[in-house]
Amino acid sequence: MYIRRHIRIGRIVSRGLRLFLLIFLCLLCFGCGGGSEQADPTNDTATSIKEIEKRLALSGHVYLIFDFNQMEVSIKLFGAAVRDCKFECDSAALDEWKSSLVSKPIIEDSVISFHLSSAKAMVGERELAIVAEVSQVSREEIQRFMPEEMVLYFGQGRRILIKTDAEGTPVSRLANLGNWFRESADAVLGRADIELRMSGPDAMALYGVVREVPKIIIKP
Amino acid sequence: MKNAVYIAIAAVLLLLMITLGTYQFKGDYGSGLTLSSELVPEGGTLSLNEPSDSVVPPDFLKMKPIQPRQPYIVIDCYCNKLYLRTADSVLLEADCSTGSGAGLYDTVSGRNWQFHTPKGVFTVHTKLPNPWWRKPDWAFVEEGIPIPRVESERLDNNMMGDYAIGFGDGYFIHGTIYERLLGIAVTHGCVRLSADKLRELYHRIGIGTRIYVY
Repeated sequence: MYIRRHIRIGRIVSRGLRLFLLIFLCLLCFGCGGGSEQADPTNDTATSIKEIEKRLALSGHVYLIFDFNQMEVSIKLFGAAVRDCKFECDSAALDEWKSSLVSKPIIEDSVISFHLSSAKAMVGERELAIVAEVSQVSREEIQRFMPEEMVLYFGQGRRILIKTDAEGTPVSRLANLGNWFRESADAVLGRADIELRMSGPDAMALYGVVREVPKIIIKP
Repeated sequence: MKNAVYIAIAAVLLLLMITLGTYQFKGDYGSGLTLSSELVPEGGTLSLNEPSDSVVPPDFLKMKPIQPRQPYIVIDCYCNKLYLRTADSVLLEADCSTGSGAGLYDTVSGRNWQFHTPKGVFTVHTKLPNPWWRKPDWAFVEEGIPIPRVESERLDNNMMGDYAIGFGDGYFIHGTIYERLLGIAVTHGCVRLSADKLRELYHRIGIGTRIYVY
C-alpha cells in the first residue's frame, strides 16, 4: 500500500516535471524570438527598407535612396545600383535635418518638384544648331545641363538644395525669382531643408532622374 | 509506452519551436535582394513606337529585382554615358549617344516612328563581330528615297563599327562613324560607342549580361 502510494506520487511528480520542462522550453524559444525583434529596432528598419525597396524595384521605374549615414544618393533601377552620388554637408545642418525626420526611421516619399537655378550647358551652340537641324529635334530636348545649383522638393515641405563646382549660368531669372519667393515662404513656415554638395557629373545624373519625378527612400 | 509517446510529442514540439524561434531571429533576411544573381536570357520587347517612359516590359517582370553579382551595363540616357559596373565599382565608363526622341512620319504609308532608347531592364541577346546594318524602312523615309524592294540594297557594312551587342527588338550597342557626336542624344534608339570602348565592352561581357537603361 505504502509502495503503491509512492509510485503514484512519483508518476505525478514526473508528469509535473515534464509539463514544467515543456512550458519552460516554450517560453525560452518564443520569448527569445519575440524579444530579439523588440530589442533590436534595426531589424525592423532593415526589413521595412527591403519591403519598400522591393515594391519600388518592381515598379520598373528608377528610384532614389538618400542615405544620410553613408552620405550618398543611390540611383537604383529594378533593385540594382545604377549610380552612387556621394555628397557632403555641414554637420550641424545634418543634425538639424535628422532631428526633423525623427518620426520614422525610413521615409518613403517622392520628388514633387525641382528647380534648376543655374547650370552649365553641355552642348555648344554650334553643335546644338547642327544637330537640331539634322535630327529635327528641338534644341531644348538635345541640350543637357550640369547643375551648379538645384533644389528638390519632397512631401511635407522638405527641401534639399544641391550645389556643385560646375561653373553655370542662371537657367531662367524669372523662375529663380519665383523660387526665391517659395523658399522664403518655406523659411517662414519653418520647413526642413538641407544643403548638399556633390560633384557636377553626379548632380547631372541626379537631375536627369528627378525630371522623371521618382519615388525616394530617405534613410536619416 | 506512454512515456515514449510523451517524449516523442515533446521532441516534435521542441523542434517546431526551435524552427519558429530561429525564423523569428532570422527575420526575412535570408531572401534579401542581394542574395541572388539569376540572369534570365530574355530581352525587351519594346517597339520603336513605344514611348520611352513606359514601364519595364512584361518579360522583365519574370526577372527578380536584384543587385546582380555579375558585371552589368548601365546606360544613362540623360548624361549619354555608358558604364560597365558591379555593385560597388565602375569597370568601364564611356561617352555614348542614345535616342534623340525625334519623331518621323511617313506621309506615303501613314506610319510614324519615335526614336527613343527604350528604358528599363534588358539582357544581352547577341554579340556580333563585323556587323552589317540592315537599313529599316525609316532610314529610307528619313532620307526621302524610295524603300528598296531588293534586300541587298538595304545592307550597309560601314555604319555599325566593328561590333554590335544586341539587347532585343532590333536595339544594339554598336560603333559609329560619328564619334564627334558622342555625348549627344542623336540616334534612332540604338546606343553608339567609340571604337575602343566598344571593343573593350564587347570582350568583357557575355550573353545574358543585364543592361539597365534609365
